[in-house]
Amino acid sequence: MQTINEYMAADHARCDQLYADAEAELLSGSFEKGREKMLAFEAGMRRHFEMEEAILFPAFEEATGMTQGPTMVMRAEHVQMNGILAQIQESLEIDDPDTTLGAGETLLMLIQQHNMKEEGMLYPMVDQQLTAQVPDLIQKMDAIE
Amino acid sequence: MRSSGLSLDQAPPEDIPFRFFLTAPVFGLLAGSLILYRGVLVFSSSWHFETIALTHLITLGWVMMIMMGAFYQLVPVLAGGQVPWIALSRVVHFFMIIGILALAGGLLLISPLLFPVAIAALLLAFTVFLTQLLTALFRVKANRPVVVAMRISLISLALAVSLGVLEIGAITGLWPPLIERSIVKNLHVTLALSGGIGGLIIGVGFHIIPMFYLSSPFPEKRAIWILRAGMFSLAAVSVMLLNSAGSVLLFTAMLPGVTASIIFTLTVWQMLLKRKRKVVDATLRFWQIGLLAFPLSLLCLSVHLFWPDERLTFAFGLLFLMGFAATITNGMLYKIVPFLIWFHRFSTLVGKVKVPLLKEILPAKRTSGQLLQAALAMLTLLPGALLQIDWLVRAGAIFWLTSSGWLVLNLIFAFRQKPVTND
Repeated sequence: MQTINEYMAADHARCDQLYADAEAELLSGSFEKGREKMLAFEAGMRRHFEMEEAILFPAFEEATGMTQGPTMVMRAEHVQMNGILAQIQESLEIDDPDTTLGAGETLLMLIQQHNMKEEGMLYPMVDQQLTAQVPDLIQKMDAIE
Repeated sequence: MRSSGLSLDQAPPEDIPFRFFLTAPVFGLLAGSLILYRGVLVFSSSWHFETIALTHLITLGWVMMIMMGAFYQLVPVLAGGQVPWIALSRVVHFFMIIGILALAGGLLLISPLLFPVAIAALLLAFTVFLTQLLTALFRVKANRPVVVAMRISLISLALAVSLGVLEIGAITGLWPPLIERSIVKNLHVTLALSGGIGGLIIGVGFHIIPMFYLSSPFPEKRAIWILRAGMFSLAAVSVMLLNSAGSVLLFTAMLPGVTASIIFTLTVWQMLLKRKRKVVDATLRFWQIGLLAFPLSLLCLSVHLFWPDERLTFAFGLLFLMGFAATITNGMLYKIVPFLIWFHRFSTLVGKVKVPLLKEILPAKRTSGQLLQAALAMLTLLPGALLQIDWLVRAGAIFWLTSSGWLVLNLIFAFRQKPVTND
């Protein structure tokens, strides 16, 4: 049976790949393709946030009663990431690949340390505390467009 | 799993890692000045007091300073353990500086008065540091490879420091020597370098390479095997040294650890080559230089067992300490420091005011310039020490001084980035 940690880590890796592809296009100078791929990355990120904020975090909070704990910190970091995603979008609109790359780099560092905390602590806690609900949670998250 | 008190925001106050990080290149400046002043003479015997002083300016002053800052910063994130009595870390930093200066000063000025100060200050600093970190790491239930590697590193450091203190006490006449000096020296070096420094860099490398360069993850089974082989060799070499074993036995004891180190190097090299991100920055180059120097240093060490020429000891020391340990820690500062500044000072302001990007906190031009100086320092010091050419050694010292000074300026540049307040 797939664990939450495996399922979510795979989605992290998918978003990482989308970012790397977009960055490679921008570095090679093809701005249009880069923009397209950066938008795909952004969509991937927003979907991941929704999986967590609409399904995973509420289930964890309900089961443990911890609403001021790890999920609160993770939500706060999502807000920060959304802020930089907005900056990336603005730079794409004004055709400024340098700022896109700089903001992307900053976002990536934020994402990586965020993912490490989730994969190292939060997801294992979910797997342990909500074992019976895992297949159902994965199914619900899969259904998100 | 312990969930009470688990917070994902356990990072220490920013001044704690920063004070350790900024001190490192300042000791780099002292080390460079010593090489420039004495020239090739510092590479004439590994028993010379000034050579021992130089070694400790780099091992304790540079490498250990960054390692301590990194331990305080990384244990909560990588291992999920809270470091207790975090405010005491400032005391650790203060006594480390006093201890290193007293040790190097005592060795350079042959001043017996300074050695007791060095012993007291270093013992105090390491006791507090090791108690804090071992408490944190043994509370963590998870036995992820990085946690195991960090424990190996800390225990090796504890033993290495004890041996070092025994040796200074014996030199000063505070107590009689317990074991023969050459045994103490070899044991001290083995534990400090392979266990203490190697253990931490390898353990952190397992996680940091995939994280920073978007590579595939380090295969977990291989990581566990590497750590087991390393621990076996560390123990076996220690036993051999205590029994004054010959070269063949020592080499046999070293072999699993050396093989594990080479497998680590090849794996990380491959991961870097196949990384998803195509961007090349100074930190990647620092890693690559470090990964070249690491196996070369082990080669020098192995050859030295059968061909005991002191010049090979210096080649090993330069390659391992400056080429591998100082280079990789230098590169990692460039990843960690700008991010910590951004995280502590700007992350909560995102979307409210314009916040700087990482590349504005520390521009690439600044880091690539320093990288070049660090590389030139290695390329001149190494042949200078091996071929005993004074002017090459002094030229290397100038590159090293430039590199250390540049790193100080780069870190200060980053530390000065603060949010603009309207009031």
